Amino acid sequence: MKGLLIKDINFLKGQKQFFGILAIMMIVFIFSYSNFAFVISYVTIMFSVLVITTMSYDDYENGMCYLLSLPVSRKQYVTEKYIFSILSILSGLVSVLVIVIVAAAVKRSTLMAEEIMPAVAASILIAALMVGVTLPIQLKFGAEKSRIALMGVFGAGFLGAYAVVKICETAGIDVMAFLDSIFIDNLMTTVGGAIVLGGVFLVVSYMISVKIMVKKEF
Amino acid sequence: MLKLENVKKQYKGFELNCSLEVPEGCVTGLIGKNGAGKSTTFKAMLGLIHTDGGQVSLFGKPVRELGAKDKERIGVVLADSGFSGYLTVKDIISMMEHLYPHFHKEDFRKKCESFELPLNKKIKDFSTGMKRKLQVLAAMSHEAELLILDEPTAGLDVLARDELLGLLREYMETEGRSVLISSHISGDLEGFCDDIYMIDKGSIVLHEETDVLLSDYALLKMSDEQYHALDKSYVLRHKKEDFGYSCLTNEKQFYKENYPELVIEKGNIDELIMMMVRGEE
Repeated sequence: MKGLLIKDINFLKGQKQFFGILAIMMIVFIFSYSNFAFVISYVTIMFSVLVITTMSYDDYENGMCYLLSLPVSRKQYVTEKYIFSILSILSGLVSVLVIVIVAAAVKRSTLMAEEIMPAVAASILIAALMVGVTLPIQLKFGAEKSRIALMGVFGAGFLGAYAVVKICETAGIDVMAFLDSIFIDNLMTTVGGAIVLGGVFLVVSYMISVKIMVKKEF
Repeated sequence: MLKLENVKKQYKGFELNCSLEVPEGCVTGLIGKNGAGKSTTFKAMLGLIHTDGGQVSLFGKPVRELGAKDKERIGVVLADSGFSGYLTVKDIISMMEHLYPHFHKEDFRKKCESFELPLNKKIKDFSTGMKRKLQVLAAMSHEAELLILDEPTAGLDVLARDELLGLLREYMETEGRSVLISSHISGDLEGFCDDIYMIDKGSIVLHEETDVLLSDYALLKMSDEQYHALDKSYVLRHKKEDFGYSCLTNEKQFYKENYPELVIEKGNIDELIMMMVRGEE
């Protein structure tokens, strides 16, 4: 397991461009717009995508066959990918929070918990959703085909959410006010809830991924 | 150590039905032309594909039950797969030392250097030969009891091939170790294997000890008349030629004594493959 994690961390060393662009975007959004909430979500979600890069690299030139002939079981491979995802989401979140706090101090602007906490909760949820949906699809279809499958899944997700908002609007329910009441009124519960919900989602996704991997042929 | 019993795998237009065994302390060769089923056989024995029938066992355990601990005991080279191209040799060293409890880090690093494999270059920028050398060195770096090598010498020049075969011989000096090796370069196998399996269209068509193969097998060349008068009891394959017939036998001595007028060529393994595959029974 540790060997696999080291391999994936080594993959990230080649991602200088990715981290460079992320840093530029962060600076732009912090100093031009002071939009801390956006920066937190943006960085956390981008970090959650890193696992997909490592899986594409594993798959490069049919590399999975060889990887699974090393002392790595199929279940261990899946477990490591989920651990790596959680670690990368958390490290993204922690580092962006540190940067935001420092930036706020430099800019002498006050950080409002009402602004930051909902962003943290939403980031955790969205990142867990991204990982939870993407990993099984990537394992099932491989790097190439999964792009099409993912476009379909996320497209359907957005359409579904849009439809729900529209239906609520016609029924006279103010969705934004409803979300605000959840997010802002109970800050800590919201973050806790997001962690629990994200965790449950990841556990279910993990069980599906293990099943896919055990059945897979290489 | 490794045993395949009637292992079946059906693909569109191809069916594998293979039995073979690698006993402890032996070097076993697997030969066959491209597409004969060598790589499918290797995938089946590593549990990379699900078989449709038969039994694969490694260290006496069904391959499906093989855990990470068991896989520490094997070293693998695959013909069409390897370390991810986005890693460097240095990255591989740090990964391997956490995967294998008996990984010889310094020795591996030295061997990589002596085989001119750069430590800090991405593997995707390596030549085919360099990638192959790296895999063979990695397979031998962690005290594996069994090496499963699919085309380990493909893409290597003569010198590198000789050096690698030298390393493999050195590896076999420790008692209790075994090797299964496939190659399309028969010279590699002739001088190295104890026994050889030949696979064609997914089935094993020949299994023989290398010594017997080289001493008792031969190609007989004859005219049409000689062919019709020939006792064909020990003819494995025959093939029509411009001059008459050529036949493959596993009883060279019989024909030498009884048909002294025949041209008898001591077959090398390449000719043997050609006759086994192209000749008629």
